[in-house]
Amino acid sequence: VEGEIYADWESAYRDNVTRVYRLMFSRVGNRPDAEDLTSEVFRAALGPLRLNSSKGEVRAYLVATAQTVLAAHWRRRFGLEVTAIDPDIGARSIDEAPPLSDAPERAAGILEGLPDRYRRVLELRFLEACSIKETASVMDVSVSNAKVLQHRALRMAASVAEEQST
Amino acid sequence: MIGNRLGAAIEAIVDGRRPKGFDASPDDAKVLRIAIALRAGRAGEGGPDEEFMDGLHRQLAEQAGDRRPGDDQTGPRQLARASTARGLRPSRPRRALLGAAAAAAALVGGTVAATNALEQSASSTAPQAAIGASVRFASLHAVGGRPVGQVYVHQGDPSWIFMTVHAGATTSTVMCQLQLANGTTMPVGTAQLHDGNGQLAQSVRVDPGQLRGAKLVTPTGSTLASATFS
Repeated sequence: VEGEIYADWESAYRDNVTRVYRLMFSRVGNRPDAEDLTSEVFRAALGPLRLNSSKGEVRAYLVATAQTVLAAHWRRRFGLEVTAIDPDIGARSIDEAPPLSDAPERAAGILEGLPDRYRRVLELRFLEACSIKETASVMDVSVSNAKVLQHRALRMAASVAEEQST
Repeated sequence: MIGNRLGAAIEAIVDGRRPKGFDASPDDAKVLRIAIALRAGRAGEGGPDEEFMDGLHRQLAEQAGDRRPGDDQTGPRQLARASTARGLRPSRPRRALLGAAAAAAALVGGTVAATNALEQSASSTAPQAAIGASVRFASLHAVGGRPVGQVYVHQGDPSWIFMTVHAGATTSTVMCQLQLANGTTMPVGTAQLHDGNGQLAQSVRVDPGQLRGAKLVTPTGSTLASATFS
């Protein structure tokens, strides 16, 4: 990649749109927002981009743009940054080919540190796409209890993640 | 127990919908962060639709068709000029920049002669909006501490940011970011440096009282200069 350049903006777009989308999806968790933010990144970044820059520089600039676009998104939505793109991690993930997501590994890492029932309720809801009723049925609890379990599991996962990061 | 708005946001994330916004606490953010990470890890997720990619490509190409003859770049430059992307916008045309720079000079006590030396833009509303209003000011410094420019933010509706930079012989595009008191970073726009010289004039939705600093970031992601608002 280093030293190579894109022939035109369409090449730069085609080569990077999936990478940017995956990066955004891993930070927002839903398709509509990931699509909007990906569009925003390209509209903002491709304008000033100089196509005689190397592919690596183009990708680094896209990551920097994605970083700021994501920060603005969270500020609008929740008033604070919920997720962020670390420039080093972002650059590494956007350089990978084929552009694979590390999101499944990250999810597995979160679940690993939880007690069985907490892990199971989150697997059912977030990874296996079960409704709260289906989850309650599988776990043999009431719907209300399933909701409480899910909420407690998320709180504990947040605490575990925070401990791991410090 | 998780609050109603946070609970609703989590259910939206589980369902793959946009969560509705609310004023989240730092603890809410931690839970949302976990929910997003788990949802993003669902098998088969994470890749864009062909339809989305083609649609965005079409939009970019249509806007690219607006470009002027003789430009040294293909579509994207004009594409971004026409962009309505929130937060990040391309540099304003030179005439508007000079008009805004004149306003910035007037704001900090520049002379009439200095203002007259700059080309005026009848179409720019920035100068009229800026004069007589409250302003935050900060000096831009390179990584080594050398002063390389100034940033002024004028309070208004919308507020305006004016920036000038003289950073050696760099010819590049730099991104301007504002750092807010709550720790978030806000993208403002980009400026083209020619032989190290560049300007930016841009409307911005921010309370100048919440400004902590400003930063210029190069296309490689490194910091060219930073400023701290007093």
